[in-house]
Amino acid sequence: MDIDEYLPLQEATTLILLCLASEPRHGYAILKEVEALSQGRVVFSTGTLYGALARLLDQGLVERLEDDAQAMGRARKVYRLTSLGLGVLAAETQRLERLTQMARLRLAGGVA
Amino acid sequence: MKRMAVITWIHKQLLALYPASYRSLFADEMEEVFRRALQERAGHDPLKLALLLLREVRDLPLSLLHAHNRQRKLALATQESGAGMAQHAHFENVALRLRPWVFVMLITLIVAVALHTTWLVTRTSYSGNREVPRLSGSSAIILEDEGSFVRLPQTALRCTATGGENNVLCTADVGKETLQFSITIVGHGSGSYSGTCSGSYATHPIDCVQLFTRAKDRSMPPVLVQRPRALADAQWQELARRYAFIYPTNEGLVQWGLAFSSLLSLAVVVVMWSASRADPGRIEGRIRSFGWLVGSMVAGIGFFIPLAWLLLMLSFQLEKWIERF
Repeated sequence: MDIDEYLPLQEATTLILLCLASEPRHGYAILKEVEALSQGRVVFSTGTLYGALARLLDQGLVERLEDDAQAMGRARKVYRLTSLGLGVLAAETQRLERLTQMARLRLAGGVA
Repeated sequence: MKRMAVITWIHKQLLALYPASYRSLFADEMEEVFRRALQERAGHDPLKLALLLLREVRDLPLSLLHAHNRQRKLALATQESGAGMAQHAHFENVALRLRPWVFVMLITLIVAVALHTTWLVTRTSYSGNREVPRLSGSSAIILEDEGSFVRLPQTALRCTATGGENNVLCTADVGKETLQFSITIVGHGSGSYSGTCSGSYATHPIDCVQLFTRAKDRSMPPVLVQRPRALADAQWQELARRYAFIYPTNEGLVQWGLAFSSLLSLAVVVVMWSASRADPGRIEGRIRSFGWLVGSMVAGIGFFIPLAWLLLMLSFQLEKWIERF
């Protein structure tokens, strides 16, 4: 599937992909990181978070791995961006950059 | 600590509403994430804890809908790839496509309960009671029973002022017994009055629920009283027969309609939920089995009739408490 078909991303999706860009994270870390990235504006419930993760897994944008460090004896899962996910995030970032640039120009009166 | 354990337990039970395959993938993680979020907020502001719980409750229906829709799509995709399954496709498609509707029904049920509660509050304030406009300006005692009103015409009452013009004692012979009220009226200007009232019938105390404030007649405004618990049916019926001015309201209809729709919705939910929990490899055979479908329905109704009845009784009791306070 062409990367452009994934665009534009929803804000929640962008935030999840963004917080997985630097390193793989488990569910609770994603929850906290999304809250921090959005400055407290986007706070997921567990249902919404895992709904979004399930969709991203189905789309192949993230993958689910066993965490080496287990929590309280339980095998914890972590989520990692796939190369497709990374590509989609890069494309979305470029799209937003273009949009921002365009907006700046318009606001400054540079483009009629 | 105990409270946290209860909340975690409830959350765990709610996870059972997700499709089986979804649960096997995410349930442990969701439980863990929720538990950690709960622990983090438990030691802080109670408002943050309340917000966390509200968010979970608010997002649950939509999350369930998405999860079941995902499951349905996966099942349909699997089905399309298996040519040998084609002969049973009709039954499977019907079952799978019905599933989102089950959640629509569930949401409808929640809305129905919310509306029912609103209706209860509206009704108990009496400002929205359809019987009130008919009676305002006239003098009468209205005895309230569940779902009906008995109006006693003023001519049946003997009222005398006692201890000043604002204190009135009224009596009426009802059968072999005497109905008696002592009413204190307080004027608020602009023709509105309120008051307190207590009475008895056949040695049973009667609680006056409310004096209507719109009544113009200070000597005897309409009074709403509640049927005493201890009053026997026969005595109450005697009152009703004697002053047979009964206004049936739609209260019973609404409540039984709600009970029936709740029951039906819940029965269907149980059937479809059982189907979603079943092993995907065996579900086709089960859904084809009409007997299993009927059996599940009967089991669902058998379980939910007592539950619906209990909820109804609780709502009646709640209504009475609201009326009292």
